[in-house]
Order: sequence, then structure tokens, then C-alpha cells
Amino acid sequence: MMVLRLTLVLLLAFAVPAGAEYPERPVTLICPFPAGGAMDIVARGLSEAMKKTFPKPVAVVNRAGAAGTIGNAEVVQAKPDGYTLGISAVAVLTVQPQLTDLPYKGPDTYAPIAKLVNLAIVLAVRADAPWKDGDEFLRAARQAPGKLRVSSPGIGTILHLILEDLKGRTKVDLTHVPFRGNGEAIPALLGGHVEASIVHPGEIVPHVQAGRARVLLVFETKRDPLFPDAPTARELGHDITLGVYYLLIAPRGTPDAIVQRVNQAARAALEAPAFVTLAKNRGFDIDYKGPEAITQELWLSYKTFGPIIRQLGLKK
Amino acid sequence: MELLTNFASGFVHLFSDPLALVYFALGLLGGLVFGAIPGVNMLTLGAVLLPFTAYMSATHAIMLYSVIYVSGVYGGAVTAILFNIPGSPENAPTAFDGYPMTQQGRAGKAVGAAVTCSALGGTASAVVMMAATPIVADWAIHTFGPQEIFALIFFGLSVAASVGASTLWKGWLSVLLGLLLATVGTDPAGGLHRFAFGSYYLLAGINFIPLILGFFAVAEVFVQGERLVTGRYRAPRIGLDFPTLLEFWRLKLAMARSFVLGFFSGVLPGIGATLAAFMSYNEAVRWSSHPERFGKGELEGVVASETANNSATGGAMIPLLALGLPGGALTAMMMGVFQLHGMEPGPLVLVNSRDLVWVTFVAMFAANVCIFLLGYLETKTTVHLLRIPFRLFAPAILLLSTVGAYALRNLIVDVWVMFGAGVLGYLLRRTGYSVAGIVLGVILGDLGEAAFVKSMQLMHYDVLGFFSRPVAAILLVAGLGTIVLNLVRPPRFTTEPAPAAAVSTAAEGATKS
Repeated sequence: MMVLRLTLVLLLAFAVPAGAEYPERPVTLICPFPAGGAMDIVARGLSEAMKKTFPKPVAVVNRAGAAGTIGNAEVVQAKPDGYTLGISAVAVLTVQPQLTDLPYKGPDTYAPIAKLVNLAIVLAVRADAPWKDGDEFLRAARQAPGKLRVSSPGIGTILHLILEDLKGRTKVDLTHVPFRGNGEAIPALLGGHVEASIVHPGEIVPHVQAGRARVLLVFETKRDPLFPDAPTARELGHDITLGVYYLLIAPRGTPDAIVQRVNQAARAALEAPAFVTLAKNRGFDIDYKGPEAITQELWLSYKTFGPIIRQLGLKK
Repeated sequence: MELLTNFASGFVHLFSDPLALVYFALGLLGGLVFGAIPGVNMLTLGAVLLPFTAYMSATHAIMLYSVIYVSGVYGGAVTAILFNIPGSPENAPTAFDGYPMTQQGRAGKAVGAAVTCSALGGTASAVVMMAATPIVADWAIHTFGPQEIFALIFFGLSVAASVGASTLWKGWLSVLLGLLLATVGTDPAGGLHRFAFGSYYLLAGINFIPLILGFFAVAEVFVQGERLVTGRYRAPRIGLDFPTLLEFWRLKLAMARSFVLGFFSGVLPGIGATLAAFMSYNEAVRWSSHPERFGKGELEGVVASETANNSATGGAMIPLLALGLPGGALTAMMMGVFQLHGMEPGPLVLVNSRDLVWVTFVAMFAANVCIFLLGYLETKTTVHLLRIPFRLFAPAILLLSTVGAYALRNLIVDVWVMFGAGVLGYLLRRTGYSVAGIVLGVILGDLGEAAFVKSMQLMHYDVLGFFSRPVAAILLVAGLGTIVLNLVRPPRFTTEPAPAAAVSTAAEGATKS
């Protein structure tokens, strides 16, 4: 804590001689998804936690629509003065611009500030399903091509692309059924209308605990402590380790001192007890990365999804 | 018996806790106000309050959200009836007949019916919710897949053409225009862009709220403005009469039907209170012996819409509490509140947190009773707002609608959509088309198409698969039957001259008398 405060003091001291005393007034944080959704909760939690680490309020404004691209486009087109920032997700930044013409493209067309949280991705089935793990599921699917139906929360979501990546690598034909968010897909899974669903751990844990669902496969680098019996895709010989992550961005050309200032405040906020509790309860893994590291990760995602998108024929 | 003991214990818990009562009162008023103002709704309030729930106990927070839910779906009814501004999408079908009633000098009756039916529907749904929780939810998610939801929406749409137009054909054209508008944006099957003209704003689709603000509030300003200019304007008589018991008694079947439909819509994931109101309105038209009167000031239209949207609130709590499955945006926030407190809704909550569950149930029950009392006062007071001359009131309506359309997503394009819909709505009404039909087409088309696409994918593109599922098959056949019957024996439409809007003609007829 001491070190943190010291860093902040030093940073402030550093920022003052640079001329403008950023921030002089409240900062707008544009959330490109509706109020009450997962990203909005992170945005509001962060804004609350930043009260202690940032001298002016950070006001969350929701500008939802078109899979997050409307709000995101507004951020990248804003004046690069540090007063309009955005929270965004990997799909909005690295999938959408490869599907449609948008005012932003690769990670060099905006200024990444900090990676905030990660959400792992898993394949879940009903508890009474005959398959015990991912291997059995894939084998059953291979025997009856196209018969097993797997839901995703929507076309072009990371969860959808993971399913397609899985299909491509295993040469197994699964029928993809996109829903409008997992709020609709999970009832369909539990009600027996689809055989499996691609979900985030936080969405399925309550149903696993209640004995209604089971996780068969996780797309992480190692087994998830929440589902110790579920193998990783990598264990089965398919190297798919993609997650969804949220990050802060600013328009391109935002002064480096401002990016660093926000980065430090956000980093400290991620460690605030209230935010840690929020993340734990909602199934987010706090995963801080600085501007350079997150830019590299974005490029990696951008280059991973390009071929999948082309292969799927999603590009218009 | 256990039910009564639980109810009593919840009652004692709620009313012996001053802080809980404060939250109750704030939730009630907050829901009413946010529900009534266009552009903001109970979801806005819910999102703003979300970070603060960390400082409340889980019981207080869940209770607060359920009270906001109950009063939020009622709040917009009064503005819908008095000024043709549905404060929230849940109240849009209330305006179909509520506003024409105001024009005919029957505002008190419309508001009174809305209040009473909201309270009755909400109370009944709170009671059923308390009694029936886990079984209903389990049954609903197993029986109702995308196929049944599509069939249900198709069934609803099959009568939409009878609402508000001057002929059946104009009714159908209105509905089809609505269905066309619903296709703007990204298609649900393959993510293709439709009618977006390269604009990524349009990729998100045309939002429903600016559309109803345009079709109802803005178009109404144009219609009345024209009358002012041409000297044909007559201020509506101020009717303060509450509906009589006899009037309610005559509509008892309509209320029961709307309750069942509303409750059920609440239970189904992704349907919720807005759809409940629209579907219930459609059923009122279907079962009425004079469907041609709907959209022109039929009390039953208000009754159907307002009973159903409040009945949906209790229904929506069931999958949330019993299975941890939020079916709509507000219940998803409640899910967030649970998780914020490290709790997982589901059978365990029902067992381990009895106090929370019963305080919530009692609070929803009490909120519905309060709505009736507050609403009764409202009937005697807000109706007097109609005394303000229209020429002074029109700018306020336009201002409120503009702010409402913009505040929704903070996008200026929504304001243009609203004014576009206003001009279109004005022209269509003058030519005898039905804006209610368009709105029905937009909202049901959007959900219906998504459900149809999902159904086809689930059935591996075998369209006959619908008929191997009994519920879906019955609904589809009944829907087709309605359409054929309407073509063979069209409903008797009023023989008024086509150029004048159906709504306004009826209104003038009444104000002259």
C-alpha cells in the first residue's frame, strides 16, 4: 500500500511540471454494453474503486449497440485529452473490426491502457448427459456428425469463435446455435433444447453446484480449480486457450503521461478489497497488464481470430 | 398453512425493520418516477443503484429491486394514457386504447382501470409466485424451447392486423411494415447486415423506444397541431370517473386471461413484462366479440395490457429464485445483487434464506397494494394536467420525447429515428393505417425471427419439426386458423371515412357529444 501511495505521489509530481494538471475535471468512461451487464458491472466497480486512486470522479456512460462497436467507435474518435476513456472487450477490439468497416482496426488505431479482468471459457452439458468428459463428448459427436447442438451467446462472440476453432481442429461437426446472450442459452441447455453450451465459469457454477449441469472441457492453460475433473482442450491435444478479457482504452494520440496516470490509478483500483470481492463473486479473474503487455496480447488475439473469421466466411 | 406462517413471518420482518421500510418506500417511488419518464426506466434506476447494493444487506437489496420492478412496470401507464407517451416499453400497448379514451373524455376510467388491474395482476402473481415456485420454473424451461416461443409469437401476431386500422388489409400492411422495420440491423442467423446502408449505428437495429415515442407522442403532436391550425381542435373533456365495479365485473374473463398470460410470459426466459403486455393485448382482441373497437378507446385494451405486465413480475421471479435463471434485464441485475453478496439463487436460497425470499414476496405483495392506493390518488390528481392547453403542452411533449429518445443510449441517431417515426406515424394515421399494428410487428417480429432462426438450427432445418412438438403445433395451427378465419369473415370495421385517423375520429365523435 505504502509503495502504491508513493508511486501515486511521485506520478502526480511528475505530471504537474508537464503543464496541464490532468485530471482537472471528471473523466467519462464509455461502456459499450448496457447497464447491468457484466462489463457494466466491472466498469462501475472500477469507477467506485478509482475514487481512492484518482483525484476526479470517473463517470460511467453506457453507449450500447452493435456488439459494442458503437460505444467503442465513439471512444476512438474522441479528443485524445484523457477525458474520454473506454472500457472494452477483446471481441469488440479484435473481432468486430475484422468483420465490418469501423473507425478502428488493429491495436495501433487506439491507445490500450490496462488489462483488467479475464473470463475463462468452458463447455458445459446437463448433469444427466451421457458424456463424462470432453473426450467422450467429442467422440460421440464424431459418430453422429452435426447431431449435437451447442449454444453460443451470439455470432462473432469469442465463445462462438472458440466453438468454431474446436470444430476446425478436431474435424468434428457440431451444430452451432447462437442465442442472445447466455441468459437465454443456459435455460435452453437446462431445458434440454441444446446438448451443450459454451459459457463462462461464473455463469454455470451455480448450476453445477445445484447438480443440474457439468463442465466437460475448459479452454485454459491448466485445469480450472472450480471444475477439477474437466480436462483442458490442450490435454486432449487441441491447443485452444482463449479467454475473454476486459481492458481500458483511450483514443490514439493520448499523451503518454495521461495513459500512465490512468493506468496507475486503475492498477491500484484492481487491488482494492471491494473490487477483489466483486470480481470473486462474479467469476472474473483480475489480470492486470500494462499498456505494452496488453497491446501485445491484443495483437495476438487480432492475428488469431483473422484466419478463423475468414474460414467461417463471417467477413462481409 | 405453512404458506400463511411464512407470509406472516415475512410480513413481520418487513414491517419491524425501519430501514427496510425506507428502502421499500424509495423503491416504490423510484420505480413510479423512472417508469413514468420516457427514456429512463426501471433498468436505468437498477443500474445506477447496483454499486450501492454492496452496502445493503442482501435481503434489503433484493427487496428493493423487486419493489422497483413492481412499480416500474406500472409507472408508465399514466403518461401513456394521458399524453400518449408510454413511459416504458411495458406500457406501450396501454397507449393503444388508453389515449383514445382520454380523447373521448374517459381519462379517469382508463387510469383507474390501469391502476386497479396493475394492482390486481401484480397481487395475484405475487400470491401464485409464493405458492408455486420451483415446479413452474422447471416445467417452463423444459416445455418451452425456441420452437414454442416462435409458435407463441406467431399465434400473437395472427390477430395483430385487427388492431386500430380502418380495414383488415391496412391492418396487415401495418403489421408487415413493422416486421420489415424489425429486420433492420444484423440478422440473427448468420450475422448478415440488412438495410444498414453502411451505417454501423443501424447495425444494432432500430431501437424500439424511440420508435414508440415517435409513433405515439410525436405523431400525436402533429395530428393535434394540424387540428389547432385548421381550427378543428377541441380540448378533451376531463373525465375523473373511476371505472365502476360493474365495468370490472364485465371484464373479469379478460383480467383472468391477461393474468395467466402475463404470469406465464414472466416465467419464460427472454419474454418478460413487455411481451406479456403485447401478447395479452392481442389475446384481448382475439377473444373480443367486437375486435374492431380495439385501438380506438376500448377499456378492455387497457385492462389486458396493464394486468399482464404486472402479472409478469411475479412470474419472472420464479426462474430466478428457483433455478438461478434470470429471464430479463432486471432479474439479471437481481442475480448480480445475489452474487455481490456471495449468494447463488437456486433451490438453496429457497431453503437457506427463507427470510430473504419471504420478505421479498411480502414486499412485492405490499407494493402492489400501495400502487392501488397511490394510483387512486393519481386518478384524481394527474388527470387535471389535461387542463393545460395543448398549445402549451405540445412543446413539453416534444422536449420530453426528444430527451427520452436520446437518453436511452446517448445516441443522436435515436432522436432522428423518433422524428422519422413521428412523421411516418402522422402520415399513416391520416391514411387509416395502424401505428399500433406497426409497433406490434416490430416487437414481435424481432423476437419471433430470432426464435424462428434458433428453432430451425435446433431442428437441423426441418420445418416439419414444429409439428412434432405438441405445444408448438397447436399454437401454429390456431394462429393459421385465425388468419384464415379473418380472411373468410373479416371483422366488421367501423365505416368511418378513411382519410381521418381511426383514433382521432372516434375521439372527435365523443368530444362533440
